[in-house]
Amino acid sequence: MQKYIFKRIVQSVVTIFLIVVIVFFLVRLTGDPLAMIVPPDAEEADVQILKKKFGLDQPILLQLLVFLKSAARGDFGESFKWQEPALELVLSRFPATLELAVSAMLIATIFGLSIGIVSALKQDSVYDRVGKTFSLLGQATPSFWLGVMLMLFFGVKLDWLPVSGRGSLLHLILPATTISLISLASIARLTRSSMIDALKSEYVVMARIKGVPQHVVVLIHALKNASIPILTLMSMQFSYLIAGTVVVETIFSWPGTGRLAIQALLARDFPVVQAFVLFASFIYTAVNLIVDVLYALIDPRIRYQ
Amino acid sequence: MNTDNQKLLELRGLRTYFFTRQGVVKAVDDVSFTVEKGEVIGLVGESGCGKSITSLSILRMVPEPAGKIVGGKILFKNENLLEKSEEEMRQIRGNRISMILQDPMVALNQLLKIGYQLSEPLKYHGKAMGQIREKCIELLKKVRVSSPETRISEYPFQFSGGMCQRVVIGMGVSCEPDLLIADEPTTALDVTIQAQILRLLKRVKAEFNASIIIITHDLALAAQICTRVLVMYAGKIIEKAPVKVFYENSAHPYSNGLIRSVPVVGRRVERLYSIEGQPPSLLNPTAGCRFAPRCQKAKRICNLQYPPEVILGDGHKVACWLYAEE
Repeated sequence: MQKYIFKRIVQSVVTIFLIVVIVFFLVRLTGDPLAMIVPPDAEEADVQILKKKFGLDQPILLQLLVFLKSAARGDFGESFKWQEPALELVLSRFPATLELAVSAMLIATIFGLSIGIVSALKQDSVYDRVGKTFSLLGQATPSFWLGVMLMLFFGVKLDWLPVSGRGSLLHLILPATTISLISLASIARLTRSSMIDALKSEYVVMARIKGVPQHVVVLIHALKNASIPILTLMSMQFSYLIAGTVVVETIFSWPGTGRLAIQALLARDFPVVQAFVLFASFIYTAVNLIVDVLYALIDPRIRYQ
Repeated sequence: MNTDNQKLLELRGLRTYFFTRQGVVKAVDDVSFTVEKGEVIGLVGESGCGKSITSLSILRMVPEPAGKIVGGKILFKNENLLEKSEEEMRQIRGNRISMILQDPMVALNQLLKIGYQLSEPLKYHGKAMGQIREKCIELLKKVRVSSPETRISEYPFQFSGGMCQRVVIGMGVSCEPDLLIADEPTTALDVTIQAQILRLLKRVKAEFNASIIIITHDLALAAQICTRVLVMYAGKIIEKAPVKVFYENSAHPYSNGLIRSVPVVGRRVERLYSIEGQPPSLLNPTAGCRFAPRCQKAKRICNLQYPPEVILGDGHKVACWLYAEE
């Protein structure tokens, strides 16, 4: 088990390193950042001074080395646009995004699992049909439309909930619901199909033959076996919620990393983009690592390999 | 001799149908038999003849919503199981009637410890409160699993097929049931392991004084362990006989064919014997004897009307026109 975790950690570190290097080159393909900072009529000498200041006059491989060296110390340089340390900028925005992502994930998990399990148990019943239709609509509804509609209904018409900004728990409800819907729908659909397979299996028949009560059969015997693909999906969905909340953050003026990343990218603010990508890939690999450990906890065959 | 005291289970005209898009599949069609205390019944027949569905019907575990018990009575200790609520049935399953499935490797949950799975019947039937671990170790000893103290915290994938079947049998007998149904208990195992499992079943029977229904297509196995044999063909029971009578004097042409199909070691034959043709589809079966199309002794009436059950001797009954008045 420890060997398994150690192996996964080493793999994660390698993955993050490779992502950072690739992103380093990719952002530089987007164009010259100075073109965005310097006014068009600036003196050539001033441009050279700025180039030197940001280290952009060096050969690219040397820039990479310098970048990696300082990155290893946690220093991602200063934002071209905001003149603040890049990593701090990303980190300062992160709690907002995490708050949104975790709440959305909670909503998606609780409702997705429940809808999926009920659908699987009452296959082809009215519940199943309602659940299936809801899941299909959920996956097909674009979040920018849903966000605006929810705002219109609960914020403007009923005036129950605040429509923008971050603050109380009430502020969280609309954006979290909006971004959770797609995850919720996909979790519900996968749970339904995995549970249908699990409920048909011999070990479930055996458990019922033993006189195990229905809720134990469903939640322990079947759900445990169905949970591995569901966990995989959930980890992907969570990463998506962390890195992909740009639209919803924009609609609801949520001060998270998604909005920051878009602003930085448009300004060719390399340090911030790099810090953001590194951070996102760190979260991504961390989630994967946790899920790998969870797999091993659920399935002894992985643990004893 | 057939007093109600000795009667443990009685099926009366059981009908279990499957309602499919193609039509109604009559998997179990008017099946009646009794199981007395301490008896070992062999329910014999080809794959798909309705043996397993009969046993699942007894436990009221026919796969729904397609499958449904549409008629008859299942009297267990003189109580009709078809009138029990789902919760009452749960309390009977694994407790008074238990069942062993064919393939132990898939019947055990791969993600749960052997000890946990073994303890479930005890736990949910209120047996051995507080001392479940000791009870499980004792059970593993009884089914001859070596070093049970350590194996109890292992997982099924760490067990061989034969060992898994021992565990499944252990689960089956943990609450000392009155009736144990074994659905092809040795089919998925090696021949050498089969003999061991068979011996184990005999021991278990002696120790717990349970009645056993063994579902099998293996006549040799039935001969070794059963006291009575029921032959099932296309959803109906066509012959019932004490085991000795059955092997020496089987009456139904299908039973005769089955016995002739068993290869005998040491006898040289050009070709192994087999019954011509295929079992009929259970979808909309004919009104006549279902074996008639394959039967070499079939008469005109065989195709027109289902034969009545004829008593040939003590406990020997056959459903065949060869023995009945037209």
